[in-house]
Amino acid sequence: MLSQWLAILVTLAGYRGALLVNARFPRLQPIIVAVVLVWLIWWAASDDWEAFSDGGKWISFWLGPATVALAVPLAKQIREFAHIWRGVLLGVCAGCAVAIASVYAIHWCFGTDDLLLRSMLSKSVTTPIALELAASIGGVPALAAFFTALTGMVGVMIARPVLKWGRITDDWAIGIAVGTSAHAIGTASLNRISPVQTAASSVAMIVAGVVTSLYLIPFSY
Amino acid sequence: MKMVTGIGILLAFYGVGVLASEWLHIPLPGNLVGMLLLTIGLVTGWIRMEWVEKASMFLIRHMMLFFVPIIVGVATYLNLFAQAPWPIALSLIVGPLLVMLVTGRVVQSYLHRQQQKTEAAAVEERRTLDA
Repeated sequence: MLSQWLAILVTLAGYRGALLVNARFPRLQPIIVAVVLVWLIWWAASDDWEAFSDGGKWISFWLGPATVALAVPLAKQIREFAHIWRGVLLGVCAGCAVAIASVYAIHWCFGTDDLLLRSMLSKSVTTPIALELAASIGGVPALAAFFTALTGMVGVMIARPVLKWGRITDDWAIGIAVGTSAHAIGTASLNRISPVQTAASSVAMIVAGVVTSLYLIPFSY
Repeated sequence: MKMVTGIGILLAFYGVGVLASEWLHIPLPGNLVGMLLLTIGLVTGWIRMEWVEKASMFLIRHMMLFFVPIIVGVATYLNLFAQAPWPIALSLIVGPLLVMLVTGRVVQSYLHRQQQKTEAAAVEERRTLDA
């Protein structure tokens, strides 16, 4: 019981610390700083990860209502979206195909384990969908969760230079690109920048989940 | 007070989303079903924006926090990297990079083309009006 409370406290403290660091060094992504801080504190203090995840559940539960809350920016942008939905669908379909093809190509080049491939194919969609998909195509859900989380973190880290390099400047294009490649973790990292990007990213997250599920149907046999 | 009602509404939609996705076998997780339902509610005006706006903005602003325990928990799998370090690292970096570039370019060029079309239409309209 006590360790659950400690896990909650450590997580909150790590998040607070990350926001402070972010105020001083805006280039460091707060989510990455928070994860590193919390991991270090817990590792030094107890190293009991089962207790940590028991306590952490109380915080991660709020992801549910927070995802529902994305309806607010979405509803505000719905007219704009109705105007450009074809382009959004096109972009997401292309992006999801690239996501699967890149994993498959690397698997083919290196000849990695089949179980690893099946746990990685769904890594660019939002975690709850990724878990289901991995299970349905014969992967390991826990592994899929790991790859999904890492993909989101990488996406958040590379977003700024990649978007700049690709000269992707439109709010909708940025939101869709980040939501398709880095799912909800990417969406969460955009919300301090622009409500249009948050809305676009939420749309991309949903569409990418559906499109990837369809793409992966052949793998379930 | 607004905050509490807002959170209550969000939790209710989340609950309904989870139940609906389970009972009706919708191939989307409950939180996304809840998001879609609330979007419909807001667009139709059945749910008023001011009921949920403040609470929603609060949760969205701190969405990163809710991910922290999940990512930290998953970090215990890091030793997996030893199994096939290069392929894993490569697909973790190359994947998001290519996806971001391709998706962003496709959407952006679509938007540009559409913009050009509306501009051309506006010019055309002006011409017909002049004539």
